[in-house]
Amino acid sequence: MKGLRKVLTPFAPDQSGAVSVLYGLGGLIVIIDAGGCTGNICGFDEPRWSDVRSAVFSAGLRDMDAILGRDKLLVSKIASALERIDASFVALVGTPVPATIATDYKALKRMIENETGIPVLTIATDGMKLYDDGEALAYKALFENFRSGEGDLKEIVLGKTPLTYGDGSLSVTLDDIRNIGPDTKITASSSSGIEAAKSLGRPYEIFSSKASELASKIPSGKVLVCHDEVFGKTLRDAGIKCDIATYFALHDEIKETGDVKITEEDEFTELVMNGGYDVIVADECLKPLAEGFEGQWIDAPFFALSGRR
Amino acid sequence: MLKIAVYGKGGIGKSTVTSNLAAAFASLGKSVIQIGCDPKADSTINLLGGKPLKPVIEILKDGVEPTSAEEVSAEGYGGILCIETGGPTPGLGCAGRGIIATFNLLDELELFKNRKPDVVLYDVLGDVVCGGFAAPIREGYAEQVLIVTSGEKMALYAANNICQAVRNFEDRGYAHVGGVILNHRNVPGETEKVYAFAKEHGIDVIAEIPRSDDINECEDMGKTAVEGRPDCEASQRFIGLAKKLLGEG
Repeated sequence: MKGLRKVLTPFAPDQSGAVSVLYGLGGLIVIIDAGGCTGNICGFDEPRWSDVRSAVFSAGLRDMDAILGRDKLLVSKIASALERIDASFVALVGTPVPATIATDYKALKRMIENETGIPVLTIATDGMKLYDDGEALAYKALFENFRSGEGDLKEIVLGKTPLTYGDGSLSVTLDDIRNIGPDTKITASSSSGIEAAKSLGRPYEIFSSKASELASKIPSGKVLVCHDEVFGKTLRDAGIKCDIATYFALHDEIKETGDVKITEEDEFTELVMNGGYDVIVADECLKPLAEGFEGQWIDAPFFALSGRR
Repeated sequence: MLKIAVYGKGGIGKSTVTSNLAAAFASLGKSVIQIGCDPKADSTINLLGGKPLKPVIEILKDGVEPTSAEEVSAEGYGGILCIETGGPTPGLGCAGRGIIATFNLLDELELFKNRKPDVVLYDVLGDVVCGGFAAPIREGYAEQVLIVTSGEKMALYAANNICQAVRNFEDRGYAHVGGVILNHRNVPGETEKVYAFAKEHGIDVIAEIPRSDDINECEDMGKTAVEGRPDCEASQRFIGLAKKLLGEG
């Protein structure tokens, strides 16, 4: 049945992706929600929460805030928080609540910047898209606000967040963004990295270090990779003939015959049943959807899909 | 690009004024887009020969994801690109959210960038009742608000609310009030009342539209007066207003 999931849990949404890019960059991150989205991000989607300090707040919206559109209350809360927190920027991260009540991010940015003098990044995530969309929006907001384009940074890796890579590190700092220059080598290490790199308008490489580490362990045969698209392409570039299936974005520059973007559980099952694959490279959380598969399963944990590192 | 939002009390003649103004701009050789922001979705009907246009929300609710502006619009008199946001069944859902969803879609389709219109007109339902209905005057959309009113008490009351709402948004970079259009209903002391209102708010009455059978008779034929009877007085007033807004009058 379309839209019904019996095995997989909901994937990391776009607001989690946005926070994943911004976490630890020294900003005051304000999630415009009642509290649940912030709880989900800090409790499930952000593995650095217990190890790395970062100021992540919920706007704490209540019924009357939504009914009355009390933007000025939010502005004063943020100004108050900034009296106690030394932040390089304020990031407003959207959820279904502001999407539904039509919050005007441009107006909020103007009001907060006028009140505090600190740059405000607005990321209009709505909780209805997936994490890679939110990551790309966050990168674009960072570029718009901090990139001068004249720096001397040697290399920047975009899209290497815990949601795709599982580990606790992010490869980018705020200074990196400031120092992107005409000679900076750009590497897109996940789907969001491709979108971010495109917005820079410069040539870029596509490479996943995580996939590269796994390449030598994949046996020969007909291979299906169900992961992030860059993960699949990196295996392909390493000489492994494979089809890529992904629940996230699949860019034309990566897509080859046999590659598919999927949304339903049944689509993965049908791929496995009808594809004649000898090897599947995917997160083990997908195994219950591949009953009857007799080939070899190579586990490739995908945090945004399963919460497994 | 001239970007104008037309507000006013329900039933005061916003759609009539907006579509005649659109037709006037088109008759002056301008490329025009008119966006109806009302669940009734009847803003552009007299630019389209009396044929209703399928609203954007009607298209989106079927799960269709339009990939071009052509899929959600129609060309009417003088090449005017007509769009209706539409909205939910009365009593259900959120009409303001419908406007935002439509605007988001038009942004994604890069309508203005691709079409490069000279004039964009937003015809907005009644008062500024919620964030969704203020969307047309947010940064990036309309730059000026024209308020349609007669001398009737409730029309002026609504006009006052609109002025107040726009003033409340001063710190947000929203549109400003560009003037009042007096749509005559021929009530006693009408002209004096409307001019007094405008003076009180520090704005100008930028056009007076006479009560006119020409407008009604043309609408019965599915046309604006500017299309059907371009030489009548009402049409000439609309053309004069268009020139004034373009800085040519």
